[in-house]
Amino acid sequence: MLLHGNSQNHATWFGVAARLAQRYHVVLADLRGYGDSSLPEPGANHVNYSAPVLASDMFEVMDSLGYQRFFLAGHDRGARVSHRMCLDHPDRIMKVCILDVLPSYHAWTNLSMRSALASWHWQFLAQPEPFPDTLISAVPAEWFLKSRGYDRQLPKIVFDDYIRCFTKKTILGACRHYRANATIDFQTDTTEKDRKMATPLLVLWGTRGAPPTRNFRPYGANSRATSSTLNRSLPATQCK
Amino acid sequence: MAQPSSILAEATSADYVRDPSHWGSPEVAALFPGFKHLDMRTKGAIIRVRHGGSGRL
Repeated sequence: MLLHGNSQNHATWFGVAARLAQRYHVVLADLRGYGDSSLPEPGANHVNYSAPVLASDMFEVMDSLGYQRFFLAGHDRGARVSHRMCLDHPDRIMKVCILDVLPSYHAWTNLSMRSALASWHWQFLAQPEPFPDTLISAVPAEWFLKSRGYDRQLPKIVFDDYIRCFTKKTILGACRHYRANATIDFQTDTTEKDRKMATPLLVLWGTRGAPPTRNFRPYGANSRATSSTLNRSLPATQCK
Repeated sequence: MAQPSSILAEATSADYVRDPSHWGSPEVAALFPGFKHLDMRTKGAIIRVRHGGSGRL
């Protein structure tokens, strides 16, 4: 199972899905609120966008396809959901690959000027509705996504699919994800901050990505995040 | 264990031409040859899924 990140959908896996499918049954899903998945109401304290609920969606999908245990990889928001899936059901995830994220608790409690500038959208998207979604919806989707560099990282047909999906629905969905991350998930993460993942873990990040490489140590072997970790950087973030 | 999802809809090749705003373009579908493209209901959402491959491992 492969899970995408913010502003994206499952088409983000275009470069690897077909190759993996030569050996594996590959499952790509749009997280709720993103892509072509639905936009549930947020519920009290954003519970319906909390990591355990997002994780439950993915387990239900895998249940439906007949998979009790499976390999998992997630990028960005999908990586946070992957992290939660490993914590909630370690018996079901055989191995996990986390791409380009830090544990949310670490990110929130170790903000620096550099990381705050690089991850400004965390603070912006978490503001109360309808402030951030109204502002983002006021500009063309293509302009917004180009300003975030997606057109330089993707084939045009995939970029166009991101534009197709970048509607008021998915903008609201993204905001609800980040509000949950800053509220209900932070409360949970604070309670569980010393808990380790038992799942064998591969951490990958792009050397030209953000945040800077050295900040990925919290998922590393000396951290509290996991008991079994292999860390690797990738030479580039572009994949045309 | 979570309750199994149910399949609500499955795209056909004609759907990519007839309704690309809903299912995406034929060009994107071609990036995932042989994959099924579904809407699945979970307890709280409808999840768009694409899946395929040999499943040998």
